[in-house]
Amino acid sequence: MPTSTPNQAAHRTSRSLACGLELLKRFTPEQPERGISELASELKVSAPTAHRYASTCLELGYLEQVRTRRYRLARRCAQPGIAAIGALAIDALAEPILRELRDRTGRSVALAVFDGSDVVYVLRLYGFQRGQYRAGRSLGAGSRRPASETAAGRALLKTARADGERGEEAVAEICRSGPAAGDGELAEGPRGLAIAVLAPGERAYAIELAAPAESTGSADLAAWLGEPLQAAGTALRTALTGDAKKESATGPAR
Amino acid sequence: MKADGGGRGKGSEDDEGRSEGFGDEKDRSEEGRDGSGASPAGLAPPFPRLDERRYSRALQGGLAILACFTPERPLLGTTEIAGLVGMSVATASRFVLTLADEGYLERDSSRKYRLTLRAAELGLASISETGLCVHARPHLLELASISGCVAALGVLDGPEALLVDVERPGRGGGRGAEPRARAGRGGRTVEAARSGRGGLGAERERSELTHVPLYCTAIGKVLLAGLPADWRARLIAEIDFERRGPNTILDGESLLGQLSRVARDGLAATDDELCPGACAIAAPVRDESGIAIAAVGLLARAHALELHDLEARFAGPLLKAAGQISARLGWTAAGDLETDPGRKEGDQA
Repeated sequence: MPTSTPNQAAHRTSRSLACGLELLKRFTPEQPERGISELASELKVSAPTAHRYASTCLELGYLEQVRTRRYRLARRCAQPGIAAIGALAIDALAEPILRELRDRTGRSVALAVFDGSDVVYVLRLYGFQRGQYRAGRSLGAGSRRPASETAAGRALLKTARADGERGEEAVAEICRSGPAAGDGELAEGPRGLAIAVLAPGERAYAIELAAPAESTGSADLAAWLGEPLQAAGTALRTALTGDAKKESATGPAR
Repeated sequence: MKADGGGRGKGSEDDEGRSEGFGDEKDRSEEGRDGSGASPAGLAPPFPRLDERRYSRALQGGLAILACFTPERPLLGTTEIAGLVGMSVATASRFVLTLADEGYLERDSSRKYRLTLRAAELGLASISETGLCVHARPHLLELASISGCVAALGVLDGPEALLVDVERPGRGGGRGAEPRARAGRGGRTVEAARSGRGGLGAERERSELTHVPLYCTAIGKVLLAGLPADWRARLIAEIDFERRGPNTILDGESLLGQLSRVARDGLAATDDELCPGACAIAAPVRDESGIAIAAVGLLARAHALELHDLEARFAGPLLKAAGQISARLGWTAAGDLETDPGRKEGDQA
């Protein structure tokens, strides 16, 4: 935050840039339309300054004006995110596998990666069954959630613990998030099953299957969906391994 | 603007090229030179593109640098970046350090920079269909107001369609500024989202959304037509066909027959199927993979319009709206990515 922390490298970095980017981050799915005065007060800058950042973004096509004095994100704003996820070069490999899993189960499916203590979803396909649109909504590309709150994150955490530094064998763990997970930290919220996928020299991925809240016991869930999920995990690992052999020069993603 | 920037403490929020002086003043002259077509890649527009004081030079620079990174060009050094953006290495370096500081860029083992996944937070909400309702609403309001019909956005929810937004003509006059009660097509009242909210939050706030059948609504037919064949068959098998109007389709065979035409035309229609006197048209909203994840439809009730009138007058605007919403979700076949429909949308809203 440009205004709260005294930056040691103040001369080497630009507070204007930091603040302008912070302004863009204040547009969220929960608050997609923002006005200058609220943005200014959140960023602790003057209204004319906030207006200057907003005009710049508007002129460059990163924001668009919805009504007089209100703005929302424009499509161009997604470009860095698309590029960041595209740089993982996972879409082409994973998409057919996720599609197959979605078509087999009728559920919304998503692919996630670790990023710090969070998971970030990078690919999502909607299921066809009742409740799957809602269940899949929070799994869109770019969504970031604390790892412990998601099935994908839990699968990845378990894998990391179980496998230590070796990281060479594919370790499959199926986790549940939501009320059935036991610790009760999520009274409400999406539930799912996930499998972590490790391939030598590759970033760890998790495939998550969304389960609507109204679905029955989690044991049933695992019984019905465990096998297709395992199969998808194996397919992704195979694809990653094959890909790594072909392009060993690219090196690991982290 | 300028006076205000100077008036706030150290003026630190307004640092570029003035209060700090460092780098930027020098850059300003260099940029004049750099900007005159000297960029090695030949891609760079002159920097800064917006050279007036009412625009932020630093933010322009930062956004231009972020835009240099693409899946084909994921790793870049500061000098390369400077060349691509058309700015001096000193300026580029300062912005790159800022972007790294803010977590948008990181260095890899070769000491070059790449985007972090944090960068995905910056704006993916703008195309993700978490924002589906947000993108669609201005179009629905516009469609409702030009047609005098009910405009709705529906998604598949098992063997029914869930109407995630319903806009009626004459409410809000297309301004969309005030909270308003909405009635679903089925007559159940749907609590409106609070003003200025949409997407996930808005949908959660509504206690109840309307479900409509798939087999006798235009939206439902579009959603069914977009499914893989086996799922289409499974969902049709779950349908309880019920005569609701003179022309209601009553068996899966006939429905399947119609759906292939819907898939081909990208437009579905119903006439006296949902209830007597009602006709409707609908078109698919596609995500980046081209899958129909939603449908936008227009419903004329109580003999307000004949189907051929509805089609002749409003199929065009409906298809255009569906295409524009799809483009926002990343579907590129609808047109060039760079021609952002947002501006036009914004003006209409």
